[in-house]
Amino acid sequence: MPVQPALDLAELRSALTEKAAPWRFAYTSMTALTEEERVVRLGVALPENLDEEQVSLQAEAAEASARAARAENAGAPVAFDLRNVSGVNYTTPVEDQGQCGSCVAFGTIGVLEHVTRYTRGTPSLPVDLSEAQMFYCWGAAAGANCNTGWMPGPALDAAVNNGVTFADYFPYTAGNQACTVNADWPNHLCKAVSWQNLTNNPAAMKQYISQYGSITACFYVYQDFFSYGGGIYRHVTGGLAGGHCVTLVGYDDNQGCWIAKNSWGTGWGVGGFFEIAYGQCNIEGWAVCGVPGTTLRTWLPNQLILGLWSNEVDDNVWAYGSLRGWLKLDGVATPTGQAMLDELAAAKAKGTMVGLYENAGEVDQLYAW
Amino acid sequence: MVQKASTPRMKPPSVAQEASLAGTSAPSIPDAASAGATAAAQAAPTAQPPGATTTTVTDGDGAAAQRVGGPPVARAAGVTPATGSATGTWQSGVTVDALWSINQIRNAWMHVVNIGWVKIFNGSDGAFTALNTLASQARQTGRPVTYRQESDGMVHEIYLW
Repeated sequence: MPVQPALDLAELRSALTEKAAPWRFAYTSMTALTEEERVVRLGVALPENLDEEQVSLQAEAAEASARAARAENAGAPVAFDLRNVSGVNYTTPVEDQGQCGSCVAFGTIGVLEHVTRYTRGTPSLPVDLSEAQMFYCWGAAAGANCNTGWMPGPALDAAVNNGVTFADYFPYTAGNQACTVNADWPNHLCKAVSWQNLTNNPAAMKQYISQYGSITACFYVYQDFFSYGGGIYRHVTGGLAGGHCVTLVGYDDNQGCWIAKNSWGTGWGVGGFFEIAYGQCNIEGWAVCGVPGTTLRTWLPNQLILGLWSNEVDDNVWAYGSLRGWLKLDGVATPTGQAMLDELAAAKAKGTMVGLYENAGEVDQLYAW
Repeated sequence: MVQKASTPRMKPPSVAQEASLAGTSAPSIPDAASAGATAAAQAAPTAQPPGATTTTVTDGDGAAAQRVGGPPVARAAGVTPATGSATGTWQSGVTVDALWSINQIRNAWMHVVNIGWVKIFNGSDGAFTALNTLASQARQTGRPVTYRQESDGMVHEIYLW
């Protein structure tokens, strides 16, 4: 779609004042860019023949639907924020996609990272995954590039079938480029166990967020969104700029809003996060996807062993690592499993670090330093 | 408190004990004369290691609290723990202060402060060895354990913290 003339920020301020300031205006990392540069970051192609008027009319009904889908009725809390779950922050740092329509890679990787941490109860687990591999390898293979953007569905298919390596094996830089990932990537990997389409199902969205930590969602971006500086966003003024993908990290039924992590750096929004009212910009109605778990295959950072466990079932020994939580020891044979247990027990007794190689929830190798 | 010096000793094998060595379920009997005098005063095994499990402290709630996040309720996707039976009695946050074993197949016991001697599950080599390692580490480090004792009198599950 053609790039709109840049929004007059004085007009935006005036419009916000007229509408009792539902959210705060700010000069952000995005307002400093040209309109052409801004729309490059909207990497989800809008549906053909999109009727903007119809979208606007549907917002009210969508908001009512999302409000009616009370989280409590889905067995979820009234409000949830992954940045503060009983005082614990499970989110990974806000990133900046730069001048590339790679928001789908960031929106989906955010989900994988958050689900990995939250489902394991490990808020400090280092899990910085490679948006570069997701976009420049798996996306490119599907025909995506910085100019075309992509969609969350095929990205999550790749996360299930291939997995995504860690950022140190292919760090992200903005701009179309070759897939130059470290050849060892299959041994340094996170995979999604599956993914589920939650589009137009706000009750399931809330249930998924509160149970697994995050979901991804796409929505229509209007020009005023670039100058968002806090509060609950609603479209006030400005034309439709494009489609965008983000990571939803929470919701609040009392305030009627979703909480999201964007990929425009910490200089936009509230440290990179924003709140958007239920029903706005088709946030519940476009490529909403949830991931109910991940598996890792990687050397974990050195950590302490805090607990050990076994029972009457053979070869069923588990160790609790300070960073990772519970992991089963995979000794292949009973004597090897016993050797692993002996080594970890000694490390635990001594209070020294161990290195664990995790493969799909089990320890395949270990060092006791 | 059980001291190292109170380690039970075997008396010369009787016919019954020889039968035990041949595979019957009869437990071995530490030497009551040589070890029992000391052991009795210190709650060490006298007739046999399990003799002093009369002070049972049930703390099911405490055990459940310890289990949160542990293998039986692991939240991460992927591996599902094999939980076996879970109908026994839990003891939570207790201390192992002595161990006992004998030259019989899978016959080892741990002594728990304020509880007494309890036998380690003997159903298979793998489970027996792993549980005995946990008990040994608990005894060596003085760290608390939470364990499950089944109606067969044996310890079937141990958390070592």
